[in-house]
Amino acid sequence: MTLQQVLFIIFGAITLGAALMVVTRRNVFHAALFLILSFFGVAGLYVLLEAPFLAAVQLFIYVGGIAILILFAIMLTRDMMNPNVTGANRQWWLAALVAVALCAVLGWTVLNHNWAVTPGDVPAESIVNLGKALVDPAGLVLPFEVASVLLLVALIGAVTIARER
Amino acid sequence: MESFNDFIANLSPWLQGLLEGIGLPEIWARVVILSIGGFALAFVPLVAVIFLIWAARKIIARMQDRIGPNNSGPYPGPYALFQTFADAIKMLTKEDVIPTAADRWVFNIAPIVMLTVAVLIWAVIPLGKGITGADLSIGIFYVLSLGSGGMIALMMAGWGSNNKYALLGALRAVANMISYEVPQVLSVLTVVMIAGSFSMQEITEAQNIPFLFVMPVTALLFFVSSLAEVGRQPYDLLEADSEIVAGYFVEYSGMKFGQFYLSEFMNNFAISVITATLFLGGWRGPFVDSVPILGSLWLLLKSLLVFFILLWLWGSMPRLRIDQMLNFNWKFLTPVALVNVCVVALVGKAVPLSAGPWMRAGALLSANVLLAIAVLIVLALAGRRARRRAQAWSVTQMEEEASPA
Repeated sequence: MTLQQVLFIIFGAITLGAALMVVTRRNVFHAALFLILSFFGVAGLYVLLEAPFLAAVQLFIYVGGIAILILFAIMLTRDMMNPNVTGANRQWWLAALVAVALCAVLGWTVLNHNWAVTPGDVPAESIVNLGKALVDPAGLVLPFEVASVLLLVALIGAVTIARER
Repeated sequence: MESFNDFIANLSPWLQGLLEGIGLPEIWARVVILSIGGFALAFVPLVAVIFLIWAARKIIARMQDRIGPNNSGPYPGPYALFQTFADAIKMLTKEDVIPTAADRWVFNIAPIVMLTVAVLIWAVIPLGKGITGADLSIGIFYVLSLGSGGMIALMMAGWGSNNKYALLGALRAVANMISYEVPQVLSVLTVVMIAGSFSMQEITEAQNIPFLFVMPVTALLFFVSSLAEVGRQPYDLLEADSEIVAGYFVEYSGMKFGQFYLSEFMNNFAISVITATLFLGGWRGPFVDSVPILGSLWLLLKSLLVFFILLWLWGSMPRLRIDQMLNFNWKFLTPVALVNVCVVALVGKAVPLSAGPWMRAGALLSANVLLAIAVLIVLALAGRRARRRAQAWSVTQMEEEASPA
């Protein structure tokens, strides 16, 4: 077994184990922390796939942004930590339906996609290629610019809200 | 000197041969060597910080017209140099108190996460020509993304303590870090645009003229927002002792407190080193080409200079209120950083690399100076308007008092 495989198993175990803990913990705060651990595991998998930029983005966006938002929401919501309040509400069957549908779509994709499993050479300058593809007119420039403008608008909106009259 | 350089470069193959000689498979020899390298790299900041704590106490004492730790009295070592060791031993022997109502696991893991993140930053910092733990192609972005791990640690400490002051401190800290991340990332973006790389080594290599003299506005933005990121004065309201006792680590005692203290200092030194690397040319300096090991000394000197400025602010700045802190970020730093990105991008494109490094640096510098002047003019106008409004308000107040209805 190569070192890569050992690391893959470790990171995979972290990701899956933490994900399992997220859905089984009664304590919402602990569940959120395990979600973060799961994000870290996914970042490790990205590193193993020689996509360090994606790994850093995973940490930066998911841990630094989304996970923090979740933690804030937990801290600022009343009764969230009350052990007597159950996690399920009247819409549980709807959520279960969506979860099963999502699981089916993902499973179908995993089983039917033609995955390249031969160890191909990862281009050394993958980050350069990514950067070029993002601003290439024939590439991803339109979605990239739309997302950029959206984020810029959000940023300027935050500044405008802060400048209350 | 030359042999010392070769020493570092040749150490890894030599060790590899030695370990394979005693019968370890190649892969495990590699693992052992990488672990040794990792430990060595982690010790650099830890040992540096032990003496930096002493230096900080001494320098701030002098700024406040005190002597600080010294030869007289119970302090150990010449000039009380070993005081930090004594403090560490004291912390290690103190009782470890865990509040009854604390969330034990979260409470205990938080300081470990905090210290881990503080050590991990050092993996990508170029300590000299070719001396880096890992010259990642995403270098500086890796440092920025680690910051989110620090935020999680603060949240864990604040929540796990089950103490309202700790929670308030953690909320303040995270609000602080999230908002100041915006100008920090935007200022790093301009550096990356001009250097053409995320890699810390390549950013250092790109600085034929230190970026401080090419983009002074960016340097200032980065330093100020980094100060806020690590919660150093004037942004120390996350641990404001007069309001929330000590913020997120109020419930920690013994070495757990020590871990927070240590990682705080390591982060302070890390932002000094990163500022020196991004804006003062890192390990570049005279004679580095002939004696490469000199680069580490240059980096140390530059970092200490930045660290001294940090201590200077620490010793002389009053604390900001939370509304002032957030206003300063969202109404001032972020807009300036956004305009700065536009200016640097436009000038960097208008004066291409082919125009020569001096031409390009000059254009960028003049654009930056013009931007600074424009910002100062806008600030002056806004200040005048605010003063006039305050004056008008007080005049109406006086009139109302003079003629009671």
